[in-house]
Amino acid sequence: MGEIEKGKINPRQFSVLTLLFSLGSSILIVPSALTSIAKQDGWLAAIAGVAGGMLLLLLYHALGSRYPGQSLIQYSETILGRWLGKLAAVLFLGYFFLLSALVLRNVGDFITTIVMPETPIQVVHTLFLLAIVIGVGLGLEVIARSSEIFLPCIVLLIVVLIVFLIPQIQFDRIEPVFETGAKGIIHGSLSVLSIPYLELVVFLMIFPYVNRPNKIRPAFMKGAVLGGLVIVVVTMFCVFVLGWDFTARHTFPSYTLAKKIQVGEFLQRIEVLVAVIWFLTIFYKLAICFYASMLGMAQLFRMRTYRPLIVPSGIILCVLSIVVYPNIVYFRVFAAEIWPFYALTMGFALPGLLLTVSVLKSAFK
Amino acid sequence: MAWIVLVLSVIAVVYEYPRLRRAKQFKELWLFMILLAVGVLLSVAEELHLPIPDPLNWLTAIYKPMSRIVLSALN
Repeated sequence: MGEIEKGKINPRQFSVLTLLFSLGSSILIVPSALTSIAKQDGWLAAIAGVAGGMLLLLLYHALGSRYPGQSLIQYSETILGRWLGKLAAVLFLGYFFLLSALVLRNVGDFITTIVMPETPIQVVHTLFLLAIVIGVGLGLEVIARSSEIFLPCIVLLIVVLIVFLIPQIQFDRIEPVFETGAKGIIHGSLSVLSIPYLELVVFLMIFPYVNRPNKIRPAFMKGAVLGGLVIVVVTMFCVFVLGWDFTARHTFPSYTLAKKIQVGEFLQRIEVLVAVIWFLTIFYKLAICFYASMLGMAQLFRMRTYRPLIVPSGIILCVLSIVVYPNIVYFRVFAAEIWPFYALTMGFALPGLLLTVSVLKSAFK
Repeated sequence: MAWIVLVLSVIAVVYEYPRLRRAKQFKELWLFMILLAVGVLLSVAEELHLPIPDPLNWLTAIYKPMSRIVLSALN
């Protein structure tokens, strides 16, 4: 049986994908979650979350580098044995697929609440998914290479957003610093930890396709640190410019943030730039999640290719993304109260268990 | 929306079925057909507003006790 994915990506592309993945959806949603818990200390909570995220990456790398040439789905069978391993693999696939549905729904919610309120959400999902289906059908190499093309555009837009907001900063909005205390900051950091970092476990599916495995760790860390930095800076700007209460009330505060840009009398209402950043980053997030679930399913059933599964899974994903939650309030409560714990199970407890069993197994051999 | 799904599925079957059959990839063929059937049934159910099980409710049922304990400790 040959390898399902024949493409190879280089460490730089891996790093770019990590960066885009950690920005996708979090850049728009996380500032609100952070400030609603940690108030004006939201940015401190973001820093704490990024620091925690780095430890998670070390765990993922430790697990991934023990089995070079195998993906998460393949070595969970090697580690836990046939049936328990398959169970773990099914749980991981469920996580990736559910994540894809939630990410797709985030796109739909954003467009139908802010950009095109009269368009049915199904149309938005179908169109976005069409691009994803084509991308995943073309394979990992194409996704990785196109991400390198879009990177300068995304960096430029982020820099424009940040630079033009500097005149709007009001430093007193961030005071009193450390009012919420350690508890509030830890609680707040759960949202950053769960929205990009615990989801990075998806990258264990593409570890084996990086052509220089010894360069994975610095590349992975670099992408995630840069992504974390952008999240911290955007959260700081939300607090500085909008104030924490206004940020916490908005579902998409960084979009509102960009509406505040006003340079002289001529450069204003450029908030659609944020939407562009977001579409590009979320495209890669969704493409990687969907790709990982397709590849994982093909590996679980020991198939020769995952391509026949893409269209049927895309249809299921489209329906799932509509029925997955009834309204945005449900999602906000779910994202704050339930998702961090589910993500901790799938992104920390289960990989941690795999690593422990694997270490014990090799120790007793 | 369901009719788009139906058209798409017919195209997918016309395209994939002969290829998979000729390549004798029966496992792939079975999984393809099962997933497609699930997809079509789900989209028809959604079109008719039938109740579809929601995984987020299951997760809420599983994690609610844990979440309550941890979050109240953090407040």
